[in-house]
Amino acid sequence: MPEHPWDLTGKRILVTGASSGIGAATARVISQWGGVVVLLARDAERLRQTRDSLAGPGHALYQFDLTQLDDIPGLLKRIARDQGPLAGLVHAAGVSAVMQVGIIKPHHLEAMFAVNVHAALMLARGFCQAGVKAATGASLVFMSSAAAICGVAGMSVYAASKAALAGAVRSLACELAPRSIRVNAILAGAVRTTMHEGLTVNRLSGEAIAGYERRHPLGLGEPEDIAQAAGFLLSEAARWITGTGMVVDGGYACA
Amino acid sequence: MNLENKTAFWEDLAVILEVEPAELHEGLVLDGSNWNSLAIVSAIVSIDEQFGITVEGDRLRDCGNLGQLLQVVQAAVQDRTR
Repeated sequence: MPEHPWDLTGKRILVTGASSGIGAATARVISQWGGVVVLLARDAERLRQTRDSLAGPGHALYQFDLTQLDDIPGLLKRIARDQGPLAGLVHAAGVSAVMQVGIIKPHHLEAMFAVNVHAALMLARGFCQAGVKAATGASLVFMSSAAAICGVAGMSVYAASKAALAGAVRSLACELAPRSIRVNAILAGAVRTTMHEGLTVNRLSGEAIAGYERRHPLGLGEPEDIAQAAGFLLSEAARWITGTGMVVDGGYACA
Repeated sequence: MNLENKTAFWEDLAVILEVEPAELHEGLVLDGSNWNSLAIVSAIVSIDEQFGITVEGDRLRDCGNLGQLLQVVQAAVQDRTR
């Protein structure tokens, strides 16, 4: 156990969706806690901006589109070969949408599940390859949502994908424990991110946005609120935690 | 552009407003019974997909009937093509 149980010194962590929002905040927290980050996202310029905001040296960035599912295991193999084995993953990349069930089309389902669920499982598969996981074990953290356990009108596709992810986490935790891989989900409430603003600002009325915010007893979260929970799950302080869905939502689920 | 030729948009509008596509007409009233936050957000998604434009919720919220809604969409489409 390190001097401080949340210390991530010596751990190399892959973060998807690292170019903005929760992913970028998580990368910063990992670096501030001593870890080395492998940043992954589609936008190379914003990835560089995130990397420039990190503490400490040695961080790497990879431009990659997670809908290229077949290529994910190979990517992890390449990262491990080029950077060194990985002690963890935070899958913060995600797709979100609000719409009535009446206008849902198959392509909405495919787009949502591709990144939120299918890519998550392919990332987990990637960790099962020889040489990808650090010898000391690994911690995989998947970004689910409070929507997986709380109903919200217009969120059925998103909620389905995040509930599927939370379910997958439980089975992965059982399957991968013998490989010294812990697997957990974070069920996040609404956080002030570009993605969240894209769903609300200029779409919902000010009254509707205020009402949604009031459903969070502690108010809307900041990306760092989720990032610090992810950092904890990556650390040795969480060494006996696997298969759980940690609710980090400002009280949304209990209100 | 004749918006009524955009079949998918027309079908989405019918579902959002809870009427048959054939019952859509410019005088159809948009009010609290069929034009709430979720209906407006869904219309924004459909407009974005069908026409490749983003219309602000406030502009749609101010529409009192379907004709006004179509004018907003038409104007946004023309703005984009200028």
